[in-house]
Amino acid sequence: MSALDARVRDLDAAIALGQALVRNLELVMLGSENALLAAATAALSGGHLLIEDVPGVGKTVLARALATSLGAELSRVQGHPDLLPSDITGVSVFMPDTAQWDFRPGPVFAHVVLVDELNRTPPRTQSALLETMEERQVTIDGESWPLPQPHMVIATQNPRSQRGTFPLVESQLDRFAIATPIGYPDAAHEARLALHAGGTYALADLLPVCTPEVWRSAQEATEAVPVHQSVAEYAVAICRATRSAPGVLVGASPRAAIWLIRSAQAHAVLASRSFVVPDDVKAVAVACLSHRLLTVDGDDSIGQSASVVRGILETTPSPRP
Amino acid sequence: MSRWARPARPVAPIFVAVVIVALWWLVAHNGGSGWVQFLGDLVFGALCIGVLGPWLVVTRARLTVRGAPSDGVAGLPVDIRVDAGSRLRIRPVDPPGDEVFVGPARQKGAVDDRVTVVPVRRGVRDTVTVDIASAAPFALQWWTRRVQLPLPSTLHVSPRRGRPRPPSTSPQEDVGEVRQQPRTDMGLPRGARRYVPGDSRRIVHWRATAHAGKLMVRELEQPSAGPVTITVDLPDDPEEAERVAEGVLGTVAQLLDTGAPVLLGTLEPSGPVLAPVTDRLGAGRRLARAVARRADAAAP
Amino acid sequence: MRALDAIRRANLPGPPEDSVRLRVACLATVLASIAACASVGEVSRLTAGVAMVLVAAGTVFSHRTRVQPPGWAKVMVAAAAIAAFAWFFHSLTSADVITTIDAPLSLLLTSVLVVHSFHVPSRRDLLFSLAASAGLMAVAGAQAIDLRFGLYVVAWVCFGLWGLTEMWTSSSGGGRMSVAGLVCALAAMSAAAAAIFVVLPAPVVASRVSFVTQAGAGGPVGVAGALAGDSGSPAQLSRSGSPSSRIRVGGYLGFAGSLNTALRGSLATTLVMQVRAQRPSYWVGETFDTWNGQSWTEPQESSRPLRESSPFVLPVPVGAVPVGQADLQTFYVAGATADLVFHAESADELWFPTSRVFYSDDGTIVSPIGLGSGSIYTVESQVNAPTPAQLRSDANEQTLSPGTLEEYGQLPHPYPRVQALARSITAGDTTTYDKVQSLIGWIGAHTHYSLDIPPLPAGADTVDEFLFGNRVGFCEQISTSLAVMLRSLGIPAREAVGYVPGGYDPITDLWQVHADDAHAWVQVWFPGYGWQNFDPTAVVPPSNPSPGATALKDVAGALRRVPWVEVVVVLAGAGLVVLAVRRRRARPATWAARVARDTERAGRRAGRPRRPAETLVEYAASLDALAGTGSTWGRLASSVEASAYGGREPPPEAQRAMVAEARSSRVRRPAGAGVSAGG
Repeated sequence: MSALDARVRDLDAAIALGQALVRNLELVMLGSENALLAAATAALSGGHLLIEDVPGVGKTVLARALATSLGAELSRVQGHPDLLPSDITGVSVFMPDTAQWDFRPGPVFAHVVLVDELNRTPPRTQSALLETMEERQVTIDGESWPLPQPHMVIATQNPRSQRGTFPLVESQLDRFAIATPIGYPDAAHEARLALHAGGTYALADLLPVCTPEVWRSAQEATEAVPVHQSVAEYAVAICRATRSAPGVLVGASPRAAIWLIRSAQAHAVLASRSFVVPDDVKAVAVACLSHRLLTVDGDDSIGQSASVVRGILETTPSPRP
Repeated sequence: MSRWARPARPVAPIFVAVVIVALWWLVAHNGGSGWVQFLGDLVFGALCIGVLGPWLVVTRARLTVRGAPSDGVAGLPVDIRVDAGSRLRIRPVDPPGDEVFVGPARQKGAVDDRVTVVPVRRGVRDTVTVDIASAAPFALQWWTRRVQLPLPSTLHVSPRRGRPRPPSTSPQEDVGEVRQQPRTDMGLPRGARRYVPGDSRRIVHWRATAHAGKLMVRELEQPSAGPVTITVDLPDDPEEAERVAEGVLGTVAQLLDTGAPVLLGTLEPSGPVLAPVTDRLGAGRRLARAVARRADAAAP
Repeated sequence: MRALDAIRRANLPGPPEDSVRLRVACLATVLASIAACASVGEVSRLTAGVAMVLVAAGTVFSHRTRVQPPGWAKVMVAAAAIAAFAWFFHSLTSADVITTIDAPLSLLLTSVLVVHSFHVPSRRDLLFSLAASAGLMAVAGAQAIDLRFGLYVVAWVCFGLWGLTEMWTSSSGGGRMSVAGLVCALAAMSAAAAAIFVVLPAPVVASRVSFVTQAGAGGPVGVAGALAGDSGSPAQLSRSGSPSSRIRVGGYLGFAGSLNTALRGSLATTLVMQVRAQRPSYWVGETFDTWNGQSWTEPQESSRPLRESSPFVLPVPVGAVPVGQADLQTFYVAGATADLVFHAESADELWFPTSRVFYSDDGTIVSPIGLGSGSIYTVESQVNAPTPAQLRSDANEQTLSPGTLEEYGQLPHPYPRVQALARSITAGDTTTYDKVQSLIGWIGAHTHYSLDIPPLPAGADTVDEFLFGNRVGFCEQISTSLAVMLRSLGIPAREAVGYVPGGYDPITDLWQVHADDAHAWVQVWFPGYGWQNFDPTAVVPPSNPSPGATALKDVAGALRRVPWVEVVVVLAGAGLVVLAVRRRRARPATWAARVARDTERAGRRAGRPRRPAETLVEYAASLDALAGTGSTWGRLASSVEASAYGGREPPPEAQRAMVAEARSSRVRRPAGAGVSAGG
């Protein structure tokens, strides 16, 4: 079997996985297509997901549904001001019987890590996540412990203006591939949600659509989706435009361009396509970029930046075939 | 608002130019030499453009503020980024600042765009007033014009952080009024629950663990302290009000550093506001917006 | 106190100027002005060379010491400047004004520039350098008489503008001027200069201090005091000029002791001289009183030497009126000419480069040397230009003496036919002026002007041949006939030869007299007004035209000469070629690009052009929504993007089908649909 065939097969598997994943999530998350598409995109692209919204719209449910659907173990960390870095990464414990330091892995050693209310943890603890998110390993006492692959951090955060929050540091925000609000469902969906106790029942009945290994290979297939030169240039142009946009203090980093393209690849897979078109870039740009921008009115949440990114999408010329 | 451009002092170059042209023409016309008259025409053209060109440049100058911070501190410089189509000399008037040149610079592609202003007092401003001047293209005469530049976002100039005032318990004692409620204790234990990853080891309830055989943690009430309420009553005199605001900011910052929640009560143009402040920035903004109580208005 | 403060502030040194480019530009400007001065001979080449080296050295010195100029430099500069001014005033007041070629004013300005260049710490001092160089240019321009000086002007202006823009760059803290701004400034400056050039009247010579005189390349002629071409004493009758004699000036044979109308010259077009005058006039060389049927000859008792030094005060010529408007003319001789001193009638003062001149009672002035290129002399004349009404009124009682009357009424033999013709032409006229005008009008209507006429038959009379023969001739025949007709009517008249003013150069303010401007015309004596010029063949404008009007006329003439049809055809052709190349470049390379282009075209026709930020799929979807039926465009767009971004090429027949479909499909709005869907 030739390499090309293998790629096609993997890609087909990835497309099938993507469709199944979206169907599964739809069972739980009623009327939040944007959020679950963002979640599926993050899952396929191998990036981390940041969910920002007011409490009670189903942030945690979405994270749980995603973990369950992917057949992965979920470990959950509840953010609060007293949380210590070692509470996330793990700790070396001295074992009196063997007289040795034994590493007890923290909750981060899981395929899917849900960090609830991330911005209630102090910056010190947030920074513990930095290494794990980027390097996908934990270094304690000079010894590195690799995290299980695939590894995905799903963090939820309360809007920054709420009480008792620590603003996330920019470097941490930049490490999330995608940030999405969930938004209030419409009236019909909200009524159904109320009847179904916020999707908890559906969550209990949810079946996995794959194993972490299949998930992993789907991620690899997604990363191999070809991106045409002009589409890549379009993505870069959007990122560059954020740096000179009015009202923006700090624009998107080069890392943002990388994740914009990878997210676009995942979006293409979700659209059952084996190539990336400019529409994919457009579709993921808001979710992918807006949390990375530091606007002049720094006190607002993603909403402000999202409108900046939308404005840029309205003005950046798209490539012409 | 933009006033007409006017020649900047000294205006001597204009008179010198007029005298030169008049003398030259007198000599050329009566000397009978066509070349002298022709040269005089060229000199007239150059002086004309040198003296009147800057008027056109200054009148047509496009100057917009591209970026400005939304917060500043009285007495400390605030950097503003401006977009200028042509090279201009800028002297900030309100708030004042040093003279700078903005616009395209000699190196290809380089642009000077930084204007530094130093707000004297706290306050909220949507515009800065600057004098723009130019002597393009020949540097013979400067023309200047005063323009108000709208800022892209409101600039909150917070007061300096003054010396904290000792909390006073008698509200009517002073103009800058600070009232502190006693802090309640930290959260009280309410019960115990199962350990979940992420829980601090400090709250492990050892006795309950031993009892249950599983790791248990204490469950606390919301850890909180009773908020300190500070009501700001600014005097009419701006200088004095500035001092009071500085003192209040110092007090609030000190309280926030100790971790105490603070409720700040101020009088804003829209009416009295009593709202919590969580950081210095917020407190500075609130104090920037605060206004003095009008004499005829009833005390809140 | 305020005045004192102002003076002290003005004397404060500015900040040191660091821009090397500005200094180089100012240095170049100063060097250009010194070179210009040397080119017109205001300063000698040696002086100019030394000054240029010194200015360059001074510039380097003052750049090196700009931060802290040494005190002795300032003292030295002040002392040298004072010395230069003292020398200037001394040489102005001393007796022998011009001993060398170096003129005092230009030497003063040059030395100021040299001295000042050693103390130029700040920007303001550089501006002073530019101003002083402008002064030097003005001094040089006052002596410039040709367009070659324009090269120096162009160089000086370019360097000066460079210096001024560098000055702005430096004073704006290192700003950069956009090319468009620079072009606009240049255009505005040129427009202002052109406007003032067009508006200003021609300069006049209003002062009469001392005028430069130069012998130039002139040389001695054979017989002093006689006209060129003579071989004997001054009293001897001149020999007829022959075509081979050395006094053939530009082919004209009349500038000699006699004017033989039987000879036919061939006029060249070379520049003879340039004249700066307050108003144009006939530049008279000499006049003739005696007519023998074929030749005019001079008065008998002519030419006595005036032994004074320049300026010569000339006696009033016979018959002339000593009052009139003073008119200064300076003649710059460009090529070898006769030893006649050309001037406007009637000259009363002459600045001439020799120690004597020869003067005749009829006003003819003869130079002891032949004038060559580089000769310069100046004449002041009293020009008497009465109006026709004044000439018609016979109120004035003045008459000529009987001898003179006879001299200017002389005819070699009676001309009965001529007299009868003249009487019949002037039958209805009562005044002399009207008679002259009638005769001129008749000649204009009944004869033809031509330089190419057959030789005079042997023994024939020129006037008879012209008036009753072929009636074709040039200025000599025409003016002689007029003079003879006037004499036959008893009106005193004489023949004059010289030059008409020629063309006016608006930039140098000089009349350009060429060899073919040589001319012969008639002077008629009027009581009270003296000799008046009448000319059936040429017209002299009443005053100097304004430089602007002349320049505009020249430009209009040049534009008229442009072959517009050819230019338009060539430009249109070039434009078409460019358009064709662009279209060719813009032609889509692949089928997908063609479909995309056709999609956009269909949308444009439906009033919904594609926005730049819109992707093709989005656009196609909106077109489908606009049409309300089917998903033609969406389907096509998907295939196009699959090809363009995914490399999924459909089979060739499918490609052709899609191209055809895109080309033929239209976005049809449903009836009654809103039209506000435009982007």
